[in-house]
Amino acid sequence: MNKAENNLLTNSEVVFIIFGSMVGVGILALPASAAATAHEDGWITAIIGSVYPLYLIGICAYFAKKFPNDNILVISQKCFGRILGTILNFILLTFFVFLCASIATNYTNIIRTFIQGFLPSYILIALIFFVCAYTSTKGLKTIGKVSVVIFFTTVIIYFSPIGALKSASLLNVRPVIKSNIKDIFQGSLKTMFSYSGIETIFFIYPCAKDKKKFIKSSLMGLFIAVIVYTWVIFISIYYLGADIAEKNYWPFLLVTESVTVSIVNNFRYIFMFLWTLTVFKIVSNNYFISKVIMQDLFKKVNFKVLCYGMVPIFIYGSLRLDGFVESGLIEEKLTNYYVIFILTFITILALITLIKEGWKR
Amino acid sequence: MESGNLQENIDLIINGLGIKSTTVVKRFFIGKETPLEAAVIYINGMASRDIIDRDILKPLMKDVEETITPREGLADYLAKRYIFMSDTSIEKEINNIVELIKRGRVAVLIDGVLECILLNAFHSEFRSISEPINESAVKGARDGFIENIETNINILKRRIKDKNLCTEFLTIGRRSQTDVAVVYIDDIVDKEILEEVKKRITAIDVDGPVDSGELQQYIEDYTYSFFPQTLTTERPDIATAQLTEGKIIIITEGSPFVITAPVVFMQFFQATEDYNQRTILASAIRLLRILAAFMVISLSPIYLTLLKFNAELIPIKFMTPIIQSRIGIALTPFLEIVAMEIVVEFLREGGIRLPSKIAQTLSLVGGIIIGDTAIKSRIVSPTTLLVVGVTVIVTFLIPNYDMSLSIRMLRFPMLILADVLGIFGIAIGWFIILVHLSSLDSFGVPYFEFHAADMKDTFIRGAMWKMNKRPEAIPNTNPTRQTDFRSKFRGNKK
Repeated sequence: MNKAENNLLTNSEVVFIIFGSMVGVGILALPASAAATAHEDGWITAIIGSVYPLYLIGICAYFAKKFPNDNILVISQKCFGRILGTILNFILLTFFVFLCASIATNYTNIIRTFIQGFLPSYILIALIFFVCAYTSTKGLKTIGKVSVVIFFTTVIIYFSPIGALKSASLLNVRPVIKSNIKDIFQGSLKTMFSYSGIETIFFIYPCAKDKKKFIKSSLMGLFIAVIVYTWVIFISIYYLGADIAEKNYWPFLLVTESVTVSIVNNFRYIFMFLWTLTVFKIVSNNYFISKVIMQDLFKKVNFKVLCYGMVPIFIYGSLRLDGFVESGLIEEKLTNYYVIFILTFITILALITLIKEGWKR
Repeated sequence: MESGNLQENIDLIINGLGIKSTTVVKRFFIGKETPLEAAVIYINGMASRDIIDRDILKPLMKDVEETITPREGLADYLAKRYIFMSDTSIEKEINNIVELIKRGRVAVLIDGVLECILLNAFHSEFRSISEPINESAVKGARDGFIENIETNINILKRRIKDKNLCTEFLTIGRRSQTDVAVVYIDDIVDKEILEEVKKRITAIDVDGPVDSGELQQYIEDYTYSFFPQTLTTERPDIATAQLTEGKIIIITEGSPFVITAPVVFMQFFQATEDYNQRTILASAIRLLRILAAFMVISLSPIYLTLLKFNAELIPIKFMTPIIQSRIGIALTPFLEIVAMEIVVEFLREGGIRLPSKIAQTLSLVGGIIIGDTAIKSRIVSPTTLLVVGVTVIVTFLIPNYDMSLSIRMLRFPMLILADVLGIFGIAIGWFIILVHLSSLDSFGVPYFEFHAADMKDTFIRGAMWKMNKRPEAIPNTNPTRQTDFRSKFRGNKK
């Protein structure tokens, strides 16, 4: 038995951490935004949108080969120098804080609407972050194991509306590629954002047990995410029609209500329970990455203190985003900026590494 | 022994055993013409008097027809020539002699000789081997471990005759000096874990006496966790199965429970019958147990949230009788459930130590009368009682007592979370349980980790003949358990 190896991530843990960092709260609203631009062809946007995570995984493969033991924080400091590197790392931290805050806010909005109306959102938000802080204190390996277990227990929620297949019309999705290509691409830009969270790979590759298979596992995680997104958008449009799907806030939730369970009035209770676990997982994953960046900034602080100490920042962030309609607008803009930032940051980093290597040769 | 003076040596041994102990010293003469003085020493009650009289004293006192003079090798000569016993040894070291007398050996000291003969005439009253009451099985062996460490080791040896089955003895407890045996199969066990187990046992520094339950707590890592990190069993068939999976068995003197380490969480949901029943049946029962564990923790909290917060989710046909049954009940649903759960815990805890005849009265008064009157006096509603009753029944599906108790206790924090936060609280509770389980380890082995290769024996129990590899969850040095012998059947040649 190798105790040190026991703390490294297995291939399946990598797959489901990556899947778990992307797929979460956005899934309920995703069909609406996809249907709004690409209409009947919304589901194609999920496939085209995966270009963004694919690109990041490609760059990650390069980093993992060049610096197998350093995560992106170290690489960034190596390339940009200590001061600029730290500033850029800090911006990366704000991205993860924003990601967590936006997930928590969206989640509380939905759960308060449907099932948890008796609790004020600040309590829900605070509890989410305390639970995630607790999870972060247990380390990445624990998060990996939890991701695997939660994927298999909650996979049913993604595919539960399979029964809706028989009670809808194929006309809703036909003809394929009816919308013009421009609309599909515009829709893909929006779907692209639902893959945020993939940035996690740049932090976890040094912790993989089987480094050679890390990229394969990441691609597997992404592949499952693409299938889930495509399916979710497809079934929503297929069941509701593009017109209704785009007018609803959370079309997928409407589709899941097509499932009938005889003891409870509808599937909602089971869905919300399982979905809450999924949300805890996605926030925990991204919270942990924020902790890793914070730990890099404040090396001397005890990690448990840091885990719990970060909670107020996240609660504050979430409460700033709270408010139903405004948050949607702010989020969309911020996500755009962040995706552009990450793309530029990662590309420049890869270019600098490449040039440096060229000089050495 | 430094000198051959008989009296000095007797005094040294008695000092070692304790002056006020119940030591028996019998002095006698050996030899025909100039008799040589000798002494037999043992602790009263620990050695069989009949054997000592018949096989040690009689031949030495009566049958020696030669002149015996003190000389080197005399002890060995006497043991070989006159003592009718198979388990004899010669010992020089006084401390070893004292330790062995404490464990039931008989010492024969001879005047003028530096060595002593040690004979095994161990005798003590022990319970006979019987079926363990707490772990009975319908289709399984009927023997169980008893309080005697040697018998327990022999039970294991009878089941595993492999030469690699190793037993190492350790002693713990300053005063009790309890014997602990560490049993493992040498070419399967992971040496690092074995060293860790032995290191932890030898490091224990307590007065004693030490029972296996205490030992369990001394060597585990997470004291304040709900979940047991080692498994105890009274069943030899379970213990041997564990040994062949590369685990280590720790047997404690005076306890019929043997400890298994390291363990993984899912092991607590496996029973002997799983392997004796046919595959489909065993798999279905195992799935039932997992469902049971989920229900013990979640059923009453879910019922509570449906009543308190999400009544709109209950279909109207269910809702009407529930409302009617709740008319006139003063307690809130939460108090009602907690009150009934606590009453059930009272009954359970009260019933454990009662003689079986009185326990019948308890179950009658507790189960039937209290249940009936609680409903009639409008303390609880029949639906609540039904829900609580079901959670009690499903508890008994979890085969391991420690795990079943731990899971029962988890209901209470879960109920509080459900009462305050509704379904969100239950989700928090389950998430924390998952995170906590995932962060645990048993002697460095991850407690809650799933391996694809082990899936045929985790949630279901696949075909026995297909389990060619040992479980990956437990580190071992020899992963192959069996070959694909079924390929030879019916002329199938590979």
